[in-house]
Order: sequence, then C-alpha cells, then structure tokens
Amino acid sequence: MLMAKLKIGDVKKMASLSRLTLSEKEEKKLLNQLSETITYVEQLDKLDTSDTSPTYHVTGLRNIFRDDKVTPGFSKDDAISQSKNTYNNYFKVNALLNKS
Amino acid sequence: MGLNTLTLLEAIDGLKTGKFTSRDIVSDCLGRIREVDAKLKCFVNLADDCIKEAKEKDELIKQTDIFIQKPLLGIPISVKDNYCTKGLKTTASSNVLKDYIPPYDATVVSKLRDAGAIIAGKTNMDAWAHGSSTETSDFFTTRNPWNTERLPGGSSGGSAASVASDEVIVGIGSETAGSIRQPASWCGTVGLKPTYGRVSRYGVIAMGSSLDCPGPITKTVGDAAYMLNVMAGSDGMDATASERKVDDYGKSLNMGVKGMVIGVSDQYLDVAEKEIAKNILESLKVYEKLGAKIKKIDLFNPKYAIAVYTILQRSEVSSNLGRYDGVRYGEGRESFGEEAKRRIMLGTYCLSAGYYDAYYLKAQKVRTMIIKDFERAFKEVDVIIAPTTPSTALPVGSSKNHPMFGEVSDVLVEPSTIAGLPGLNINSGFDREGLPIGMQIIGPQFSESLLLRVGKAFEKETNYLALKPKI
Repeated sequence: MLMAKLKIGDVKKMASLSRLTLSEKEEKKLLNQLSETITYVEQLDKLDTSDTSPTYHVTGLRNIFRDDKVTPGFSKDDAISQSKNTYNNYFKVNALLNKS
Repeated sequence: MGLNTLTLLEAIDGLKTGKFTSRDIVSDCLGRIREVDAKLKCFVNLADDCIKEAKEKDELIKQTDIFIQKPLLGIPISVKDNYCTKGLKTTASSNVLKDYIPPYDATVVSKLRDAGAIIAGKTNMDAWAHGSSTETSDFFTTRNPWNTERLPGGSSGGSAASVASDEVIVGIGSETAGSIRQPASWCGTVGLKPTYGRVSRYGVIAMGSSLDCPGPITKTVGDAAYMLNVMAGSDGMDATASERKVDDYGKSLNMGVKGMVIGVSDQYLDVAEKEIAKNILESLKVYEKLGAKIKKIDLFNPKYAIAVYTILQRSEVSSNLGRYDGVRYGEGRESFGEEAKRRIMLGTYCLSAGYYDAYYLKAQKVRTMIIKDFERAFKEVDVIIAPTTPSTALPVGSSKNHPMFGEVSDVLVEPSTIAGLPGLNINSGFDREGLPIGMQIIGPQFSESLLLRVGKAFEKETNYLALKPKI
C-alpha cells in the first residue's frame, strides 16, 4: 500500500472535491487526524489479498429487477415543500455557466 | 409502577383483554417522558397528537381479532431520528436537516404505522449516525439511564435510553456497525441487528449503504422477535432487501439450547475489560447448564475489521452525504458538523483517483476474508457468543477529540457487521459500578430465529433484563 504522507495540499484538494469550506485551523486539525486514521488503516497491508476477490454485496443478490409500473409520485407542492430557494415552482440553483 | 414499564408482549396482552387502553399506556409514557427526559434527553422531537391517536386506536381495538392485522395497535414507540416520518421532523440530529419535514415515510415507518403503532417521538443520535456516543449529535448528548454522568452509547443512543428508562414500550434503532448493539449493551436492553437486507433501508437516511440495518431495541427478547415480524421483508423500494421468506420469529423462541454448540473466541474476550470477559465466561456456564456445548474457536483478529470498516464506512459516507447541497431540502454544506466533515474528507480521499485500489478495493478484499472466516467458524458451531463492547458505559465527554472513538468501541461488532451477519445484544449482568454488561450472540446470515432462541434461554434463566435503572 502507499505509505501516505498526507500534506496540507491533499487536505485542500479533498475539501474541494467534497465541496466543503474549511478554515485554516480546521485544515490543520484534519491533516493530523486524517493522517492518524490513514496510518491505522494501512495495517491491512499486512494481509495478503492477492488471491482474494472483493465483496461488494454480502448476501449475494444480483440483477434485482422490479416491474416497470407507473405509480403516483410526489405532487409538485410536496416535492418543493422542503426547499428554501424556489422560483415559480422550480428549485433555484446557482448559475453553472457565466454569461459571456 | 405505570403502564410505561410494561414489555411489548404484556402491553399487547393487556390491550387485547381490555385490562387497560392505549390511551392509558400513552398517558403513562408521556408522563414518564415529562418526568425524566429533561435529564436524559432521549428525544429531539416529540409527536403532537399521541393522545388523540391513542383514542382512535382504542376504537379499533374493540374489533375482534384486530391484532392479527395490526399487531402493534395502540403501542407507543420511539423512532431514531434518521427514519423519514411523513409530516414529522426528521433531522438525523444534524444541523443540515434541522428543519426537514419528510414528504414520505420510510418503509419501516409505514410498516409500523400500518401495524397500528403510535410514534411518540424521534430520538437523538450521533449526527448522521456517525459515532457511538450520541456526543456528535449537533443538538445535545443523551444520558445513560443507569448513570446520567455516563454515555448511552450510539448512534441509536436516544432509542436505547428511551427504552431502558421506560419512556416508551419499544424503540427503533439502526445499525451500521454497533449502533443498535452497543447502545443496547450500555443501556442494558435488548438490541437486534438483523442480517443485512432482512429489513428495508428505504427512507432511512443513508450512512454506509452496504452495511446499514434497521432493527428493534426492546425490553425483552420476545419483544424483539415480535418487532422483527413486523419490520422484516422484501421491498420494491430497496433492491438490496432480501426476497427470502421471513420466518415467524416467535415460533422457536422457547425451544432452548440443548445440544447446541456455542463458539467463544479468545480474540474477542481479550479485547474486553477483565470484568466483562469474566461475565461472559460465567454466562457461558449458564448455557452449559442448559445443555449447550461450549467450544473455543479461532476467529480473524477483530482489529483488522476496524480498518476495513473505517475505509468502507467513510467512503460510503462521502458518497451518501454528497447529495446534501441545500437545493431540494435542508441547509447547505457549511452546516455539516466536525465529525461529518472528517468522515466525508477521509472517504473522499479513499475513493479518489490513485487511492481507490489501495484503500477501498483492499478493504473489500479483506471483507471477503472476514466473511470466509465466519463461514468456516459456523461449520463448527451454531452461534458465537462474545462481549458486545470492550467496556461498559464510558463517562460523558469520552469521544471528544478521538477521531476513531466509535471504531474502537465497536471493535467487537464490526467483524459481524462487515460480513452482514445478524447479532443480538442482551444484558448479561452488571459491573462493579452497577452499569449493564452486554453479551452478543452472532449467527450465520438469516439466523435471527436462532439468535433470539439462544437469547431467550439466557433471559429466562437470569432475568437481568427485568432490572430497572433508578433515574
């Protein structure tokens, strides 16, 4: 396994991928705590798994289908009832594209 | 003693025979909540109209054989706050969802409502179920009914404490790794974590999707069997819920353990405090007396399960919490608490390009090794008995600044969780400070009936579960 030496840049990158805004103090604290946890989990390296396949689902279900039946869903009112930011019965989101 | 102290089966019997009404039980439970909840803080939100609901149920109870259709008719229950309840605030004890009122019910909640249960309120938990103390709740810490300076455990700490303190007749928890068994252990109640997929996860706020299991927290083993009968089954809304036929969990409850082989592993006993290990060995003598054979077995060192669990859980958390953007419901991502941020960050790291093979894939491979290890063990023994937790309830404040507190307190339940196995916690006595000690019974997948039967045999013989905390 990689002997991870986590750097502050990694913490910033993870925060950006996770869409989290962290203070400098939080970044430093996380650097220490995440390094500690990563060091801990790296003990798995001691186990030889070269002949072992991964398990993603424990009860072995495969290709579960259900009937393609139309059933009633939420009304528009219900669907937007919990949003704090709506406009004319739509969810309002931040602009993704800048005006050119 | 009020009606709030009844077990589920006693309450149902009394309702059936007209000894008392649902309204009587609900009033006593609400009275108890008023009396002790300021101290214990089990609930984050109480339902408004329980008495009115109880009166409606009392009308229904007059019908003959109504309990066949509605097995929980008129029973007040507590539900962990990560179950979506239509029209009733559901926060997962997080600031992100502090005002969230779901427009739908979780499948388990629908089943409970269809069965006639009355949801008295939603219980406190570690925020997003991230923890084993309730201390990471964004709102407040729940206290242990046996000693209010101690933690109730978690993440289903509010449900466990509400059952142990007789605020309700039964509680609903959910477990990813330990979140039912560990608080049940620290609060001295019964906690059943079913096989992965035995109970639908639909509408339960997702934490680790390959691990999450809804389950009951109850005063007796018989009550847990009765609850699982209501909760279990396949669900078109959760493709991972098993299609396998659901047992009648009450059927073999009283068949005893004669001739059974019970496995015990030093790898598990050595992790627990001496007093707890001693208690478990004494409990095994009870089983021997009842005709079971005890067999020493070797199991995969549980310390590896901590590492596997940490990687899988953090990874799945980072993906599941990705949906909270404050657009459709809830607050924005700035509202995540410290623990959630830490978990999202580590999960993102484990899943990110270049690290996936080293962490997530590696963990999933070791998961296979753990599964195979249990399969081997269950060729030799019928069930495995172990301590549920390495220590009894720890003091309030113990989890602070310990990024792996939960993982370490849940070391003895993580291996079985990773393998998707069911596990049952029951109270097996008390330590020198009077805090409950929990014993867990682990079995192969879908062996809930067997676990309940083994638990029931011990309960009949010892009756620790009938003891009540003084609050």
